[in-house]
Amino acid sequence: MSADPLPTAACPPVTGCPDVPTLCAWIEAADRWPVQVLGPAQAPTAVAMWYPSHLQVASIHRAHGLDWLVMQVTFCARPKRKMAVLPLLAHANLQMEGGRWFRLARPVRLVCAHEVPAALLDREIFAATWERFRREVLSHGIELTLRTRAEAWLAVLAQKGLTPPRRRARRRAAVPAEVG
Amino acid sequence: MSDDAHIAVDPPWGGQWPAQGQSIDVPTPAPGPHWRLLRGWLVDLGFDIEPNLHADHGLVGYSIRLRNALVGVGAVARPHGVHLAITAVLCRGMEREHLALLALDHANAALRIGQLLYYPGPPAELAFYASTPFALLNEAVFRDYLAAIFREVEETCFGAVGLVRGFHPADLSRLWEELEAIVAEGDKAVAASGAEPAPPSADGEAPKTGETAGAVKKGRKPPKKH
Repeated sequence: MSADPLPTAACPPVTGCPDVPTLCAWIEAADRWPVQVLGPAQAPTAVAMWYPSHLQVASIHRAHGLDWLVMQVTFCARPKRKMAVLPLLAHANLQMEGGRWFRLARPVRLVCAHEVPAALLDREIFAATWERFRREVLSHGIELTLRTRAEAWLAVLAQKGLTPPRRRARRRAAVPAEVG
Repeated sequence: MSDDAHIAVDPPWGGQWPAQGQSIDVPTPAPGPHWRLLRGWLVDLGFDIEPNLHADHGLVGYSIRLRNALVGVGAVARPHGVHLAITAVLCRGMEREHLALLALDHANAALRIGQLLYYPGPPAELAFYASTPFALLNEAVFRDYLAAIFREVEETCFGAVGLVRGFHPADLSRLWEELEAIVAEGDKAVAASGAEPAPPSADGEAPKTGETAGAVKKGRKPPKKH
């Protein structure tokens, strides 16, 4: 084998990647919780969904010549049992199939992130990937919060005055004036 | 004995190394065209792929060798469809295992793709793992995906390996030390018998004696010791 691990092959260039408004539309269609676009209005950078338990963010990043859909969750903060955090994170990483848990220091936060190539992303694959990540994060994030006696990230945000945006109520049925 | 049996006792996928003479064209029990597609991509990229066979599950992946890692690439069934899974055991056994969790956490915070895992063992291991839906890949994306993972492994994960300083599963230094010892013994035997040893050929190949002939013929060189 040559020293170059990836010899150049005749491959078509990678094109096409969803932008933030597209992601926003896909996320809104995927679930019923409030959605918030992050960043300036002219150039949004990410989309967040406010679940009852956590805030799940999706964004597009370019790294190593490829566009990636990055899903990230800051699940909890300020764990009380600091010595227990690292073994619990290592265990959660072993259990986690898609995504990695790690600790951010000062202030201590427990974060989970997962990336998939975004070039061929469509709505169905995105919905499946988004839901799968949400379930995995939930199953391990709640356990990490309880075992480390950490504060839920939404509670930390609420202390700073950050609350989920109001979502327009869906009309489940036509109003009487519209009938007939 | 398989040509690669010296790499590691166990392959990274937990299966078994193929038997001697086993062809790459093994039938796969997994349904779907993704295995053939995956093998075609790897071959087109120039890799020497080797099937990783499990006694019960059959083909569980292909092994490809990089400069400093042996990487397993395979297709796995997940609740939301078939996923491409890439794994590599980067470190087996640790001199400073008490730093393993710290190194793991730092590496996972610095990684941009995939995750680093810590198996308590024994022997304790650091392993890289990444997965993505197979539907998100074509040949071009797969090539870039592999390149990105190789860079992440080299730039980030080996920092953790350096911190714990374990034995590298793909380190061939010991093999080459043994081969050099065999060659030296052969030279001594020739000298003791009074015959002139065969002169080295123009391209610098070592005398093809015994077991070393096959390895030297493939043009492999001993890696630099770290």
